[in-house]
Amino acid sequence: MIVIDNLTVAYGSVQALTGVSLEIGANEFVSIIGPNGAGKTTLLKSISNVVPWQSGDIRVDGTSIRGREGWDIARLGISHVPEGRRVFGQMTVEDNLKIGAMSSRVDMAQIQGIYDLFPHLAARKHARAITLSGGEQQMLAIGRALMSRPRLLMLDEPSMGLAPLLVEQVFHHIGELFKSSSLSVLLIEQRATEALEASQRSYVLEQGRVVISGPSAKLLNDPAIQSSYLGITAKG
Amino acid sequence: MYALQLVIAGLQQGGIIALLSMGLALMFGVLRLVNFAQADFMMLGMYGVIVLTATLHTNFVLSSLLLAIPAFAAGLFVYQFIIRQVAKAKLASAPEHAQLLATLGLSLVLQNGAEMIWGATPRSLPSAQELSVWHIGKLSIDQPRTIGFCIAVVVAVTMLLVLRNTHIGRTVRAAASDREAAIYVGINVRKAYLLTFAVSILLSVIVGGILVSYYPVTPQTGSDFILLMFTAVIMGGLGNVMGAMAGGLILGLVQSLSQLIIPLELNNAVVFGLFLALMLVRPKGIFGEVTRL
Repeated sequence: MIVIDNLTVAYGSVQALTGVSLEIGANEFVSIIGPNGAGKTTLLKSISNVVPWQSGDIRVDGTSIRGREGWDIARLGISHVPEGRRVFGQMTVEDNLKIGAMSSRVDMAQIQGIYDLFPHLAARKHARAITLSGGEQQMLAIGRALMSRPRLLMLDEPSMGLAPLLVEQVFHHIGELFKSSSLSVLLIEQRATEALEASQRSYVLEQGRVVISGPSAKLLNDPAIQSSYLGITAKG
Repeated sequence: MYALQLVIAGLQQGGIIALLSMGLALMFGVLRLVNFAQADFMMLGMYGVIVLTATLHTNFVLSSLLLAIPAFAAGLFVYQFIIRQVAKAKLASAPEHAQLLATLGLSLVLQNGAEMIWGATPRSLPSAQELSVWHIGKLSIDQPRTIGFCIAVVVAVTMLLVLRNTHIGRTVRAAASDREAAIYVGINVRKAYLLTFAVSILLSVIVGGILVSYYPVTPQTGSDFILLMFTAVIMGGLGNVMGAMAGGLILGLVQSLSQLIIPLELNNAVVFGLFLALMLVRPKGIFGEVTRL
């Protein structure tokens, strides 16, 4: 459903992405791994059109999104769960979900669906989002993104700052979500093992370039990846 | 009894400052914009109501309501053609600085424009010169001020309810809280900013309509209030609309009650003295510097 074609992004004189090409099909789970500063977040921000790109193109269902406003991208069925969760802290959990629906008519059954998915949120629905734990905020950020009924869910480092047990929980939820729907998932992670295990296909991004790509299971057994990424992950 | 009388007067005055400050706080909370022209729109509202009341032979409440429509339109216009353009033009190191200077310029234009049209002589509504007072026991309660206070309360509560319980209110709060995250959930932040600016101007104009029922207007009337407004906003915590409301009410009460101990002419000295003391103890305001709408 989305094709990224030879994308180049620079912040001033700093090159963030150089000729990146990748695609995500319908109902596909793709992960992008790579070290800090490889351009992973920039890639998601380019798809959401909040950073301008210099050359190349991003096409959704065959149509370029060049020149579209950022807030229009969500309406194409692309939902972005940003790095650091960025829930609306002073608003209640329920208001955060309502705002995700992008409409004045909020389907309460849909909100209930999110609560069924993340029972922790139901218990705190009237609490301000800022009072939630990191794990709960991550669930809320995902729930908020799901409220727009996206076709593609983009997750930027959902494990960031979470305790190991919670990381496992978050990945479990994402996996379940993918299996139980027709959703496509684009996951960005520094935790390479978890990302490769969860996804079907993966890309490795280094210094703004795609250096390796292929089926996740194959990458998981690739000696080069094992030594440079999985080894690092094992050490923590 | 005298103290109670002063409390009532303080609340009446505080209600006006509160509503004015809420508009200013809303604008800062959502757009991060410090609007020096905010009180000048109130001044325009005062003149507008005088003109409307005379031409339509109606009262100040109806005139204020009628004025709400052009006020909202003026807000849209100023944001779209001045504030946004100035930010886009990259005239200063940061767009906020350019915008701040633009509002300062706008303030001068509005004040001098008003002076060109209406002159520098104070003007007031014909009805404002009559003294109409309710007597309850030994208390005398000024009628226009009380009506004004009631309107201010209704408008303030309506605004808070809209922000809290409607879709449009939630989008404005989300845009205020995190611009980028708001874009990710499909909020047209530009529209949210535009709407917030216009509503905030509308609030100022409505306050002008209330105020002119008992307070004479000159082109510089805005300057009498802008300092108090900023004080109330900072007291409540920058960008905190509820805090600004509380700040405004407190200012009104302090101004009024200070007459118990020092001469009336010095009431602003008490206000700013208290403000300085508060800033020493709680530099982020009574309720803290969070964007809470």
